[in-house]
Parts: sequence; C-alpha cells; structure tokens
Amino acid sequence: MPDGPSKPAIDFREVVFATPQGRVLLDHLSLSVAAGTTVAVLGRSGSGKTTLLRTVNRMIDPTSGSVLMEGKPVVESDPVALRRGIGYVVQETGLFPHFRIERNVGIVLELQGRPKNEIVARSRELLTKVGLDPEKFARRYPHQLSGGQRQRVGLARALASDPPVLLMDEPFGALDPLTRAEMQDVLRELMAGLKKTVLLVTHDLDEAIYLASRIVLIEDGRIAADLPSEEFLKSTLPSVAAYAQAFDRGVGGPSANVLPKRSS
Amino acid sequence: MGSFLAAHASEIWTLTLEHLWLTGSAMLIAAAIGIPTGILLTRYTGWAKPVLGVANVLQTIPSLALFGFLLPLPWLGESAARIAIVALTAYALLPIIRNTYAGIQGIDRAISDVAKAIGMSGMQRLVKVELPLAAAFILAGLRTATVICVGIATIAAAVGAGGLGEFIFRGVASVDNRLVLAGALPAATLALAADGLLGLVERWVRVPSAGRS
Repeated sequence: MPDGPSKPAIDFREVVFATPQGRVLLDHLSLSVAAGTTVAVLGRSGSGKTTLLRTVNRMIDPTSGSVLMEGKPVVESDPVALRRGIGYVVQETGLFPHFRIERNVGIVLELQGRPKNEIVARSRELLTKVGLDPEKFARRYPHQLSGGQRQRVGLARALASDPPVLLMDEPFGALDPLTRAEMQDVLRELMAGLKKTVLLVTHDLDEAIYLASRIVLIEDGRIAADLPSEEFLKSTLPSVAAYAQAFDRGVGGPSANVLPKRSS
Repeated sequence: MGSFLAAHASEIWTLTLEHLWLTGSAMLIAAAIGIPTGILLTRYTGWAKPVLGVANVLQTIPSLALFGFLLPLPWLGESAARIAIVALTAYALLPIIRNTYAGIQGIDRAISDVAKAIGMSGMQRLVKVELPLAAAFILAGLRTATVICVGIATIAAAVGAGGLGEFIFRGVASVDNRLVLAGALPAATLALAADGLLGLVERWVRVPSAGRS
C-alpha cells in the first residue's frame, strides 16, 4: 500500500451486498482509505461504486462483511447520528427547493440543534469559501441559481459541520464540462487545507486523476485495480487500459494530454 | 322577490350557518383522519392500493343511500347531524388521502434520499421536507373534498340534518322555485368561496419549482 502510516479512516472488509433478488453488487470487496486522503472510486454504471459509498453512511447495510470508520463498525452506530457526522455531496438535485440557500447550507447544524446565529454565521462563512457572495445568495432559493452555483452550495452544506469524512457521489455529473472543471478547481483548492478523508465516486477518469491521490477501479463489485493516480494511466492492467481507452474516445482528446495541462 | 328575501333572510342565514357547520366539522374530521392515513400509506406502500380502494368505493355510494344506511345505526341514528357529518366525512376522505399520498410519493427521490443521508430522522424528514413539499398537493385535495361536501351537504336535509338543502327540498315539494334558489344560490356561493379561499392558500404554500420528478 502506498499510503502513509496513518490509520484508515474508512475500512471495508470483505463487504458483500446482494439485492433481495439475489444480484450481487459488491463481491467480497476490501479497501482501506487512509485518513486525510482522497480516493476516487471509478467504474462504469452498475459496477457497484455508489453501493459501496452508501454502506459508509448506512444508507444500506452490507449483506455480509463490515465497514469500519475510525476502527468502529458503522453498524454499531445509530444511522441518524452517523450520517450527521459525514459530509454528503450528490448531483445538483440534492438541494431542498423550499429552503433558502443559507438554510440549505446550515441544515446539518440545524439538525444538531445549534443556535441560530451560529448557523447563520457559519453558512455565510462557507458560502464565501465556495465563492458565493452571501449578501447576494444567502436569501435566494435553489431554483434561482445556476447548476454550478447550486453545486457550490451542495459542497458548502457538506462542509458545514466540519465532518472528517466526505462522501461524494458523482458530485459534478450533471454539470457542463466547463463548469465541471471550474468546480473541480474549487473542490481541490478547498480540500487542500482541510485534511478531509474523501471517498469520491465518479466515472470521469480525468476528474479522478485530478482530484484523488489514489484511484480504485471497480468492476462487477470487485476491485479491478487500485493505483496511485499518477500511475493509473501507465498501468498495463487490461481493465485499466480498456477504461482509459473508452474514456479517451468519449470526451475527446486523450486523457494523457489532459493530465499535464491541469496538474499543478 | 324582495319581499320573499325579507321574509326568509334570517332563515337563509341560519341554514347557511348550519350548512357551514356540517361541512366544516366533516372536513376537520376527514382531514384529521385522511392526512395521517395518507402519510402512513407512504410508509407502508403495500397498503396504498387496498386503502385507496375502500375510500374509492365509499365515494361511489349514492349520497342519499348512504344517509339511509346510517339511519338505523345505534348512536349515529339518534341525531341527523351526526349522520350527515359521518357521511360527509366518508366522501371527503378519498381526495384527502389520495392527494396526501400522491403528494409525498411524488417528491423527487433524490431529495428524500439526501434528507436521509444528511441525517434527518423520519419525523424531521416528514416535517421539514415531505409535508412542505407536498403541501400544495394536500391542499388541493382538501379543496376538492370541501367543494364535494358543500354540494352533498344539501342532501343531508333529507334525513333532517338541516342546512341549505331544507329550502331545496321544501321548494321541490311545493313547486316554488324561489325556495329552491334560496337554498341553491347560497350553497353554490359557499362552494365557490371555499374553492377560492383554499386556492389562495394553495398558491401561498406552493414551493417555487418544487422538487418533483
């Protein structure tokens, strides 16, 4: 393992998840995510990557095997309390349409029963951090924002209670390529100083390489490759090569050209 | 016509109030039963079909027959107003249950999912997300039910429950159109007023671009 000596923040051990109809979505999958690192889970639709993510905050419980956070099996935690301690970002549909932006950002704090002035101050601070002027945006509703702006709000919401772990499920999947690149920059800049453990589910290879230090490729509920991001494109593993090749054709321009241009 | 109105003004007023009372109490009871039932159905969706089926059947019973069925029942049969309120409640249930259920079920799955994933308890999801997002739908159900009830309540006079139907039945019996109109016009006005008022409330609670899939 190329990870440092820090203990794993998230530890999947022999996780199996099968649907009631008997379809196996996760097949004895084991994976350790070191604290403070960003790991991208890459794979095609239906490979089980979202399922894997959802076992962490107990949106589903594994059929067998266990998921540990900081050494403690998540099934021993109350799901509601567990989820409040984990940041969660999904595609832009995740904002509450009937909440103003500041309430959307502060909702987790509201659930924790924090005082109102603290929530307002924190949500304004976070809006500024994700590049939205609170004076302009705090009192608006989600439908009055663009897709990229909404995604910034989603990010701010996930960070509101300063959780050590963030789960991101295709966070920028619904955005156009330019906005997506912009959001990736925002996220990267934001994460640089925060030392969060991030599990990022994506099918976008470029995004995985840009944001994560490690890429795990999942196929049929199993790990097909587990590599540091900078080595991913050099890998000769057939499934990695196949994914990279398919991706090149899909987004125009080989990923190998995208990588040096955007790495900093 | 003027002297007719003058002679009956106080009676029109009394019967209108009686009509309002019958409809109002039935609507309160129906909402108290129907909204929680609709919510429960979203939690136990397997029950949705049978429960909505029963409510549907209730609504197909001709109103005059339903009043008749309730007459011989103990306690209920003792008071015409009780019969009327129970029957009106039965008619109001379907739109209320159906709209509550459909309103909550129709919320974008991604939003309910996020509500759960960021750590809302079942009750918080209901109060903070589901009910506000379904409010316009639920109100539309209440509105339909109210208009139905104002109309059906005129038939309650047949079992002696009073209300504006008194005038209509008397007018029909004595072939006096003025009496029929004295019952029908206020009843229609009530229905329109209730419809308009609830429509306003509905617009007021409607969420801008509500999260619907």
